[in-house]
Amino acid sequence: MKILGISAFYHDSAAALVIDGEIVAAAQEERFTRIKHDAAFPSQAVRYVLAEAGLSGNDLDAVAFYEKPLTKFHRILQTHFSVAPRGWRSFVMAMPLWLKQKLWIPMEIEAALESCGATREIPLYFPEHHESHAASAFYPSPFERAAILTLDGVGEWATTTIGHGQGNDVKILEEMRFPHSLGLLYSAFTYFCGFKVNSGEYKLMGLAPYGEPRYTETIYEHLIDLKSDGSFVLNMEYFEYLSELTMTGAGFERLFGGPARTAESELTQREMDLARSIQEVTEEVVLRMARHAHQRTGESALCLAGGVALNCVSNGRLLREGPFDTLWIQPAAGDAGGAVGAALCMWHTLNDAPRSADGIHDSMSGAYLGPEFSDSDIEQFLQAKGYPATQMTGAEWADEIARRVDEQQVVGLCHGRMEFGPRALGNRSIIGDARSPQMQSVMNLKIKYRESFRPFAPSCLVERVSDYFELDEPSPYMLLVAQVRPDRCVAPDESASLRDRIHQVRSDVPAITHVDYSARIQTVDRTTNPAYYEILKALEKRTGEGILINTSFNVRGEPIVCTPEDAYRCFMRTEMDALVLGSFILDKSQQPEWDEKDDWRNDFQLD
Amino acid sequence: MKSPESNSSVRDVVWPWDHAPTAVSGRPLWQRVLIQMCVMGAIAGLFFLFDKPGMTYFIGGLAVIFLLLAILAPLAYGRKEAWLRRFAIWVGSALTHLLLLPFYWICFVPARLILSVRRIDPMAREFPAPTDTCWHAHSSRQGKDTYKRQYS
Ligand SMILES: [Fe+2]
Repeated sequence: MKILGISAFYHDSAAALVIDGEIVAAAQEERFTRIKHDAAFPSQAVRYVLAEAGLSGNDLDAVAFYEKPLTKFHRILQTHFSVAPRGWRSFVMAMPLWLKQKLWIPMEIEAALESCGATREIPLYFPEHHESHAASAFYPSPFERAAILTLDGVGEWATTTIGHGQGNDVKILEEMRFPHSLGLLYSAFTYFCGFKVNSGEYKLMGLAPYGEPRYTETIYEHLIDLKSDGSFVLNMEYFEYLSELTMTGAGFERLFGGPARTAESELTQREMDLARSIQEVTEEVVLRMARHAHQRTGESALCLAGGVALNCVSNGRLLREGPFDTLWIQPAAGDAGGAVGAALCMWHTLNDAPRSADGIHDSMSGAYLGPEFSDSDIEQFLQAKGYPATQMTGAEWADEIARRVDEQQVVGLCHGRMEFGPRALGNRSIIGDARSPQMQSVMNLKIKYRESFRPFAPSCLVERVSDYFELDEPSPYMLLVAQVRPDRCVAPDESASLRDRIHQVRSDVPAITHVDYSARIQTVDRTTNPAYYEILKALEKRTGEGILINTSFNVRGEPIVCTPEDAYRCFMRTEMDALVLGSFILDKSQQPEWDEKDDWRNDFQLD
Repeated sequence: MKSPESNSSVRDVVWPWDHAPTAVSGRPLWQRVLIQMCVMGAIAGLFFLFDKPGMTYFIGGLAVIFLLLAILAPLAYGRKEAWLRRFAIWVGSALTHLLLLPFYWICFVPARLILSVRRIDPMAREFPAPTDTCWHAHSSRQGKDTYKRQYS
């Protein structure tokens, strides 16, 4: 049975294809349209996933949309009934899109499938938003049975759910409802600290270690009534998202001593302290919810999904302190993953098919579910454009990349299948030497053109993870944060200013050691990504260290590259030294001059 | 590393770099001009019927200018079309806002008043919460058919 899953119209639209329970392909629309977090109907992603399996629209047996649009519409109307006459601005902003598109989703899907050759009606299904998240968390997980926790901004009404997965069945047991939402609470602070909602949350998380939890008590006292079971209500007098186009207003300003930070202005200690405080509150809420989920289900494994599950600091703490022995987090935990979840939910619901789980391996294929391009396609492109490149294979290829990294070059990697989800995991990545004290600044300012406080994540050989970090289990999706081993760390200079603290050498792998000695870890194993593993192995042979910096292949505000052409463009626009396209290696110094009429930075809105 | 086989359909969908750029969809220029002339002619005709010679000449004159523009400077005609399209979108959006605003006041404000009088808050905003827990039981699904519905 072939099921197409679709998520759309909020942020990060995506399509996924599930054939007989196996996830065959999945991709976010932004990668094709080159519009970051594109929320439009994912027509191009739909065309891609069908092409990947060599199918046309007529071959599909079902289409699953990741939420129930009419229930969501009901929630929006109820919200406006509750706040009128306030809320008219958001009403007149939101309604045209609802009236034009969101209320006619079956027609949108039909039109997209027609453009892919469908001439008959394909049955259409609508699981609930959090049911899709829960399905995306449990079905691909390695567990036969597990508790499920989904945490995000909001779906239809639910903002958080606790579920139970057993065999091929997922049951949602309890939920918390809008407007009381951990995701929206975190987004409110993201907004107040001058970052973009729905994309700047991970910046706030990265900023937290620079601050002190000075506002934690204020948050508990005024903003959130947290119960012992992790459920809570928010004090809506302080939040504006019910009625306005902003997240916070005068109440927040009074509470936190001044107006919200404007985007791109200098970060002050207040923002850092706010980031730290809300991070601590978030972790406490997640821990309490996890304990409650454990009590309700009696399970020893937990599956996580929803945007808040991308908070890898809180995930790391949950793994260390939580009641669960083991954890699996959907790598596309945000709404994009809803496409996979919706399709899997319908596969299991319609077929009642058995599901196998071995307790070790998940079925996300390392999140490498996007398009890949053959060497012959790449060669044709390079020849037609006159871009010089050297072709290498096997050990020679990995050795050459390792040599360049060792010589302090910054290398762009575009090979194999593109990753699904927000993280680049070695196939659309920029890599550099983790041992270099300068590499964090070089990459932030000359390659990524982004804020200098932002840390970089490491990729390391799975068998050596405990040599570097206080972690002894795989973290293949870069969704766990752990401390760098103390014997590798250097004592901090507490008297240094913030600017100096950013550039202090904190360990013998300084480029990936955050200011609090933590790192967001990706472990690489030979089975899931043999090519990337070989690069790390070659580097280990050369330097003794099987670890490197891995950051997504894009500049600030740009979606991660998809095609070799996107990769080449990004390579030439930045100060990267080398580019790997499949088995071809391109040296910057040999490339023809890159000529662009306009300033390419205007192509992307800063995130 | 092992190179994958070329999947031409994926390449054609995702990365059609060597294909000629697809022509902008829509009608050819002559058809677009013809339609515009017909519409403007009809409007001018209506003004003529209602004995408004000034407007008839104005619309007719504009139609002639657009026709000459299409013949002599097709690029400029294209720019004019794009500008008119943007203007139409702006007018459409302004009209939507003008209609939605009174609708909001007529429907939503009285509804809010009724809810307030009856002390009903669909958003459950009482703070601190009056209960020991804020978890709600999730209503379980009733059969596969519920998935066909766009509402719970
Ligand atoms: Fe969500």
